[in-house]
Amino acid sequence: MTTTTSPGAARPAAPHEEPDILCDNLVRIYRTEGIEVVALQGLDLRVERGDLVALVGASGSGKSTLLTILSGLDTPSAGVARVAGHDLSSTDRRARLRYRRHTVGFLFQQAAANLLPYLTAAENVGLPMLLAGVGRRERPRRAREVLDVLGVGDVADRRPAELSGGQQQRVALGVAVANSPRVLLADEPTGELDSRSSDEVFEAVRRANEDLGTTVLVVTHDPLVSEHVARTVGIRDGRTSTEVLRRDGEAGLVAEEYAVLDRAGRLQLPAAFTGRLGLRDRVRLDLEPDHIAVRPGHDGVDGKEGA
Amino acid sequence: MTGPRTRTLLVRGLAAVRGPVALMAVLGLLAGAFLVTGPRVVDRSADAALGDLLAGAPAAAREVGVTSPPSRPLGPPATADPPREGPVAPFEAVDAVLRDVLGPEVSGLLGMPTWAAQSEPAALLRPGGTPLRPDTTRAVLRAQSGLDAHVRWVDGGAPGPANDTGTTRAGGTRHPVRVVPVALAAATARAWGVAVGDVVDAVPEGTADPVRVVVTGTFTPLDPGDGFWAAEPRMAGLAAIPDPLGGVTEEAALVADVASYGALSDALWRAGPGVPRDAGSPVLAASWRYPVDAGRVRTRDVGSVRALVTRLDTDPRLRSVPGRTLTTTTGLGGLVDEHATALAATAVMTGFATTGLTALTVLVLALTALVALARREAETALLRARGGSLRRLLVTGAVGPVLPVVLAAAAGAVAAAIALPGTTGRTALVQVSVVALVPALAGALALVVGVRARERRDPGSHAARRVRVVRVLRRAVGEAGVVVLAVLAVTTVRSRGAEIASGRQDWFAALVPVLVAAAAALVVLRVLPPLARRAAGVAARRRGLVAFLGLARSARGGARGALPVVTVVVGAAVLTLLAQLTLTLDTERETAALRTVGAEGRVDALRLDPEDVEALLARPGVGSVLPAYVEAAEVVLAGESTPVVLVATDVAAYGALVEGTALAVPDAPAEGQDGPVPVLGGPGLAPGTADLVVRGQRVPIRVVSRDSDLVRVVDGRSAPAVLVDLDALQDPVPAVRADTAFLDSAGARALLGAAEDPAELTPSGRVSGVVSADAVRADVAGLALPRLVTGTYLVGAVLAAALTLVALLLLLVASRAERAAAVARLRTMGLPRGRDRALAWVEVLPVVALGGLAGAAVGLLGPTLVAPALDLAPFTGSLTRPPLDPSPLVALGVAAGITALGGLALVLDAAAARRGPLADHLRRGDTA
Ligand SMILES: Nc1ncnc2c1ncn2[C@@H]1O[C@H](COP(=O)(O)OP(=O)(O)OP(=O)(O)O)[C@@H](O)[C@H]1O
Ligand SMILES: [Mg+2]
Repeated sequence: MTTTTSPGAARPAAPHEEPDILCDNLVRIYRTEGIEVVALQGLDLRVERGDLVALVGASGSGKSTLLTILSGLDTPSAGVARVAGHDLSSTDRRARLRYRRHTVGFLFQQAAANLLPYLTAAENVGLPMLLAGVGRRERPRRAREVLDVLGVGDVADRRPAELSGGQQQRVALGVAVANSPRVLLADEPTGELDSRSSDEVFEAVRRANEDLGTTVLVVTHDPLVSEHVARTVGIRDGRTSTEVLRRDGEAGLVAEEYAVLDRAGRLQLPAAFTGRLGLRDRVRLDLEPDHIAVRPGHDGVDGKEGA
Repeated sequence: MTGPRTRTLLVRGLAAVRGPVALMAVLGLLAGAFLVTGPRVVDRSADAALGDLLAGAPAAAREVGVTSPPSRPLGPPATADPPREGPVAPFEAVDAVLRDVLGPEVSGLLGMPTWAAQSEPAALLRPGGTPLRPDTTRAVLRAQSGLDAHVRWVDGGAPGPANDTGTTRAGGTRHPVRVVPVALAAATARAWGVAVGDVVDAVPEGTADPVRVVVTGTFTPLDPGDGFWAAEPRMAGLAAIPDPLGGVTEEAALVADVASYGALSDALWRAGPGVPRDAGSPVLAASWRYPVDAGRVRTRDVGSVRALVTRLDTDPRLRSVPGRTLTTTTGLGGLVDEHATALAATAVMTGFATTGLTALTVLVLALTALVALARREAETALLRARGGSLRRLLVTGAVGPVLPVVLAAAAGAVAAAIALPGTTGRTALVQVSVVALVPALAGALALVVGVRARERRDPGSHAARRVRVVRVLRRAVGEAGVVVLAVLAVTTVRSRGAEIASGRQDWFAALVPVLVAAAAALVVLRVLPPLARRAAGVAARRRGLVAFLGLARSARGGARGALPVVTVVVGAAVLTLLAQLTLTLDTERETAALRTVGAEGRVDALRLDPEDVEALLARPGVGSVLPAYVEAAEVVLAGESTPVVLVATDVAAYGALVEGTALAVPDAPAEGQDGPVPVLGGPGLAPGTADLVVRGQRVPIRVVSRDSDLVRVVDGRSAPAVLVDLDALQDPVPAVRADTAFLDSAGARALLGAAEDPAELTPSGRVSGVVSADAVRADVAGLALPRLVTGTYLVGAVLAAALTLVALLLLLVASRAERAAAVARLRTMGLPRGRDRALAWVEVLPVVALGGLAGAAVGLLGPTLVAPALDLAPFTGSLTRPPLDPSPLVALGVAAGITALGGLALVLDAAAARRGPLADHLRRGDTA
């Protein structure tokens, strides 16, 4: 990805054009046997059409939860989740089914869960088409095209067990984009792969984004991946906490790290900052002409500025 | 290259779960075959049982008999007149009416009808006037049809019509007669010294005139057991007619052809010249016999037989035969009623096995379907995520894969239908369909529930509590529903049991054990988790890591864990019930046989004198022969008479003989006092004094002790016995003489093998039969319905055990992946190798043992719960309802057996797991 953006800077969205992914104060609470786990607690996220955004965060921070909601497999407990104009809080089953068939493509975290073991690669790619009602003659041709684009056309007639991990994930990607969805959601597509296969898979994701114009949201733990992405959103405790935007500079990509200010004006300070300055319990805020200063609340320590 | 089609998905998806599908197909095949075969086998057995019943019934009971008494004489006999033609025989005229009344359906079931006319007994003289024999010798004169077909002629041939004439002076006056040709049994002829060609005058005792007969032939019966002879046993040989004074008169029958009817009647009572010939005979009683051919009657004919029985009572045609009063008798009504009762009892008995097996099959099928579905869980999730509609998921995931099951069930049903001709009722078809559809239904239900659960919205914290409450309530309501159903079934059976036992088919009775077992299983599922948790706590304190973990794992239920538990409980209940009933049948059959015989063995004789006893004792293998006198008698107390079986013998010796059998008797009554004869009484005979009516004589007795088991059977009637010393009884009633001897089992066996004809056992030839309790028991066990029940129970027990084992294996297979994961985690924490199997044992065995115990308890209670609907009499040869004694030992044995099955399942599972790659392949299913 060569275009690097910051919100509303390099690529101003027309005011009437809705973003492809829009989460506003999204909440998801899991309740089991009287225990409540708040997996998402008021998450905000906006991804414009055609963007490729990486999602990072510690284990258990709610990444998979967010993706399952966005893919229409789960419903939010509260808040708004809109993808390509579909309101995902609605419970209309048929609408969700149509949404899953045509609007969104999904890649599961476990590679094995993405493919049916007894179908060949091409048949697996043809499966979503079958579900979406694509004609019988057209399916093989389109499946072949998709596999060719992703660089796995040569293994089209093999079954998943006969493919390498990287090939499997690329075929799985083919399955996800089989019906040319507006949005592709990939949950750690390279999590179980070595770095070379991982590069191949990510390259394929990038190609889906560029060649097919698909909006992509990809969860990753892989720093190599996030470093190649223009926009990386960090999640902490079920909330977007930081964003890293990368621009082409003289020395390759230049990263700028931002904290995310939510709609209520809340801000998460990076732990490294607060630790360094011993910020605890109470802090003092000062409004300066072009920034806000945060200083330790107790006396005896000199105020230092952060933004 | 082609894109996937729905068919591809179906077929290849099927291959992914081929193991479970193959299992379901086998179960479906078996169920289809079993459900179709079952009723057909029952139908056949029912027909065979009806044949058994008819063949075993007294001849008079299995025929329609018609009798017509002698007509009133019109004026005195014209003794001195020359012979006339005599009255017209009524046979054909009445036969025509009877055929009409019987109707074509019943007529088709009949063997050869016969008719006869017979006089009162007459004394026999040589033509010169000297008696035929020095002692009293008498015979009846009988014109009989069909004699030729039932005899082998020893000498001469069949009697023809009376052509010659002669004059007898036997009665003191001159009486010209036509000489009637007669035949008689060769044995009688020998005893009397009569030969073919001899002429004999028969002089009736009453007012009738003598008749002259000429012997044309002597015969032996072709089949002495034929009902033909039962109508008049004196035709086949001499009969000993006891007279009140202790003597015996020997009587025989002289058999003439039916064509001699007129001549016979004319000789005995010559009507005056004006009397019309169709006025009937004043001296001959006529009878018609329409025997049912046991081989031709089927259960479906029962209806027409019943209708006939009603017709015989009411049909006006039988009362409109001119000049005749016809009386019809038949035991067919009683026999078909008995048959219906036996069939109803059989339906209840086999119902336990069939409903139990059906329930087990349904449970195992459902369980297999769930295991198969679980194996494809990831696939289902994937299809759903890719936008697969619920309908498609149902087709490819739940319904499609079980199509082979439906086909297999159909194939099983068809194969069974072809292999075993018969009719298939709609019930069987419905049952097969339901069983075949169970996997599809279970799979579909589980799939829908699973998909819904996965896509359930977060209800919010407020509603979450409500959802939880609703879930708890729903489970409680479901459980309560099953319990209520079980209670309802039990109370229904207990209040309407008599109706069910007497022929009203009721599946409720057969369902009771299954329903109660299901309720018990729910209780087990409730108590299991807390129990396991507590045990796990104890294990944790004792540092039993594996025990703790295994128990903790078994504390968690789940539908896939619950179904095997229910299966185990139901399986144990069914097995216990079948084992218990089999055991009860066995002991009751033995008791009934012993009560019928009176000891392990018995010799019957006309009279048993000391030299006969000597002769019997001289036979090799015969250790003891205890002479006795057995008779159906009455005890009269305060004007009320109770039928009893009198057994007069050496009571002390008898006690020793039957020691250790079900017949064991209390100590002998005190002897040697004056006054009432001391006796032992059976149930219902209160201790104290009463009168015993024996041989027409009243003997004062004193019941010194009562034993509720002292019951004996004589003449097909079960009654309390009166056990008395033969010597003590002979004082007041000298006419009582031993006519029976009791034997031990070795003696009975020796005598049964000693001679073809029991008469050869003693020189006197007075022994008429030898029976052993073993033979009686074997006879009863060999009858159609007992065989059916035994066979059904055997097959049922084997299948129930097999199904329980399959359920246990499925439990292990279903939990294997999870357990393997747990073990892998524990290994990293230092669990020693080899302890993983121990984990499985601790996890599974307590559950199986508890389930087995609960089921066995239900099976133990089962017979008592359904007692009112349960009549074992038709299968034991007992004449009264045998008691149902629950046997805790059997229940414990079954519980232990079920636990052993659990062990076997674990061993099999371990063996499968050791088979490395293959096991891996199976364990992961073909989905990963
Ligand atoms: N079905 C569920 N029921 C209960 N809790 C759940 C469920 N799914 C996720 N959680 C909890 O929600 C939180 C977020 O889980 P999630 O899977 O979204 O994390 P993640 O960011 O994807 O983690 P990872 O990087 O390990 O995949 C976790 O605390 C998890 O335990
Ligand atoms: Mg995740």
